[in-house]
Amino acid sequence: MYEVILPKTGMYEGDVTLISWLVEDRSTVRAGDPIFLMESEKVEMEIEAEVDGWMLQKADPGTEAPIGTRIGFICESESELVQFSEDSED
Amino acid sequence: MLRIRLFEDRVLQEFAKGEMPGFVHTYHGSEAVAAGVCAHLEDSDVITSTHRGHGHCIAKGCDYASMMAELYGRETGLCRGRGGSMHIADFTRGILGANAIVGGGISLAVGAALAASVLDDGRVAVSFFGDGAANQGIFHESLNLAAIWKLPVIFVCENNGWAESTPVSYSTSVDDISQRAHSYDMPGVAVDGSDYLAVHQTASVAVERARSGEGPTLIEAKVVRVRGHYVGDPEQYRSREERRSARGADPVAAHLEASGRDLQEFTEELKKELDKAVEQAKAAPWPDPSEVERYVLDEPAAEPPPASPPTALAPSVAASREPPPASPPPASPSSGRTGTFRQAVHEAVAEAMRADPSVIVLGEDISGGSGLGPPMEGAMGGTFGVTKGLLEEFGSKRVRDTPISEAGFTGAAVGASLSGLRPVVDLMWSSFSPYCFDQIFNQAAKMRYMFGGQTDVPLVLRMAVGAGLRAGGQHSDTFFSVFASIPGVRVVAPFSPADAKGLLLSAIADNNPVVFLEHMSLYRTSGPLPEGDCKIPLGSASVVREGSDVSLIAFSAGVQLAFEAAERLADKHGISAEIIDLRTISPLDTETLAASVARTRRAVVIDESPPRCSLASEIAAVLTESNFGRLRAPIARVCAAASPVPFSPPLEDAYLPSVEKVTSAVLEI
Repeated sequence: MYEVILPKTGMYEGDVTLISWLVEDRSTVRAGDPIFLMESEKVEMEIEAEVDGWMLQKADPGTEAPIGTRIGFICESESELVQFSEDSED
Repeated sequence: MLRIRLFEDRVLQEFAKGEMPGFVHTYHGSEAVAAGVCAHLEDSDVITSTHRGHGHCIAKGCDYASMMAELYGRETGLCRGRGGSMHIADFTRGILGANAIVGGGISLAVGAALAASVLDDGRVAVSFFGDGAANQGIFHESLNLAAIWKLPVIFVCENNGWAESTPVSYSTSVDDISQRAHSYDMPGVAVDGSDYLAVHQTASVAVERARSGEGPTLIEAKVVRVRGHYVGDPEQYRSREERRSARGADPVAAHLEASGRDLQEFTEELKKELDKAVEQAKAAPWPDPSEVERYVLDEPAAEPPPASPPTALAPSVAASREPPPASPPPASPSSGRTGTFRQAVHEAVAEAMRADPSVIVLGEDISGGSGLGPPMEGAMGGTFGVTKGLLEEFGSKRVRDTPISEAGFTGAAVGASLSGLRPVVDLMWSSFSPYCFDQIFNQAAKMRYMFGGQTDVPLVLRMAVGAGLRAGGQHSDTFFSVFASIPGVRVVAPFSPADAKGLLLSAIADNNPVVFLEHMSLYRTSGPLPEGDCKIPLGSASVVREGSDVSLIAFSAGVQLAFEAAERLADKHGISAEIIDLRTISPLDTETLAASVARTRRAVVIDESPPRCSLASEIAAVLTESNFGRLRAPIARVCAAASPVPFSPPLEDAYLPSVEKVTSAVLEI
């Protein structure tokens, strides 16, 4: 299970915004696929998946939060996806 | 290799969380280069690195904990948090620093190799740099220098195909950067930089060649830039497919697979080590904000000891140093001996060279006729005749004419100063110094600080300054305030022969970079010239004429104007002028200045530079802060005109400060 966070992408250290998800929730993704659009310092950028797996989204588009905030997971297997989506309904 | 890959993976992860300040560039894809080359190096061998330098540090033996602490900006980091990812260094392992100036490390490695060659200690130097750096002038100057001096240096170009966002296919005139070696008559080898064994083999030949005195090699290691230029780079200049394919490049896995090794257990161990390094770094103390100016200069309380070795020399270097020489006989200023300013500078350099074998001199035409043998070789002795006779006494190993490569040889001098020598560089006219401004401003001046005090930079840069010789715009500058504004260098601008000698002796013995500015109109002037140990501490001004009505604050050739104006003021106007010769313009002796102006309550500053942001402006500001309540008039500045130095005599005369201008300024206040 890989944590998806709003990443630091340069020198900017303020809040960033999750503009939209670029993949369906609970769909499979491959490393290198763009998975969400983020705004940082008025610049929009696509953030790519770091690993292959099943996308589990935990934040809504429009979320503005500090860098490092967890917004979802990429699960290693479908069963992990199921298990994890139940476990982490927090 | 695995160590490097895992470190960089972890840096990616931790950086994204936002707790690591600034920005980082990771070494993904080039692991085999650092590992394959550094496998042949000892701790005493020297490397220079790049903004993408974590891999070089790990391959040279740095541990995760002290590197990670540096990346987090903590006091426990390799550079006490003063450097960060792009300026990480470990002098105990011969790492002269990651360098955030593209190509910045190349000439430093040449200098380290020069030191190894002069000290004959068997060390080699390796410079790692990227394909972008191969289009910098410093690359070409450095390769040429290394070739003509047959230095033990290996140039390792990590060609990852991209200079930030510019592809090498666009930016570079040749298919293989290794081809450029042919211009400098050295072997040039292109190698698959993702193949550890290939790199190891190629480096083995190059290191052996360097150690056996056969000279430099250029290795071009072709690698894949797995990630963006920096972590977080959106890489709009690469297609998604290319990015995806690059991400998959993993020389470490390829090597492990080919060698049939399973390092799963070791991987787990390393990951634990990384967990601990991150945890410790985050818990480590920040540097104390009250220490923001610490490590800028080596500032011993008393006069600097002569020829004390830099603190962080590799053991083999330290061991190769001669014991400190016996002190020369005490100064005998009362002997009545006189000499010229030129002679004063010459004597200081020669005496320092006699006393300390680590002092070398280098620069353009300091001998003249180099390589031709006597009587031509050495006959010129410098454009101003200052270095005449040094070649004959000290030999061509320590007295080196250079090609016209100001950046290259100044950078080499900086590298040599980090590696056991005390170079004295002759830059001829100061107007040439912008060519080596990076080496002065970004390298020499910042190294002690950026590396958290790990190294000293005992280096002197001599330059002729000043107008009045009808030399026109590009042979007459002063650069006083330009150099004096740089933290990390001391700047000396003497007037009298005795001061020139005493201050230059101190400058050479000082552990910091010292810019020594010699006014061209002074070379022929004469005055008392002491013998023996006549050092004058850097940073002390001298009251050279006492007076009660006004303080004339001057330095360099301006002191002559002050003397003449003072005589005229006394004779014609009954005004008693005190004259302060600053001698050192950075740091300023503010105490002597403030004390004088407290007595006279009026001040005129003479500065042969255009007025804007001049030293005169700085002194006026300093005195306004310290003496405002007691000043009877605004502080006046007598500067050059706000123009480049003109050629035509009436224009140049109008440009320069003059006795009339000084006298009028005094009468006006």
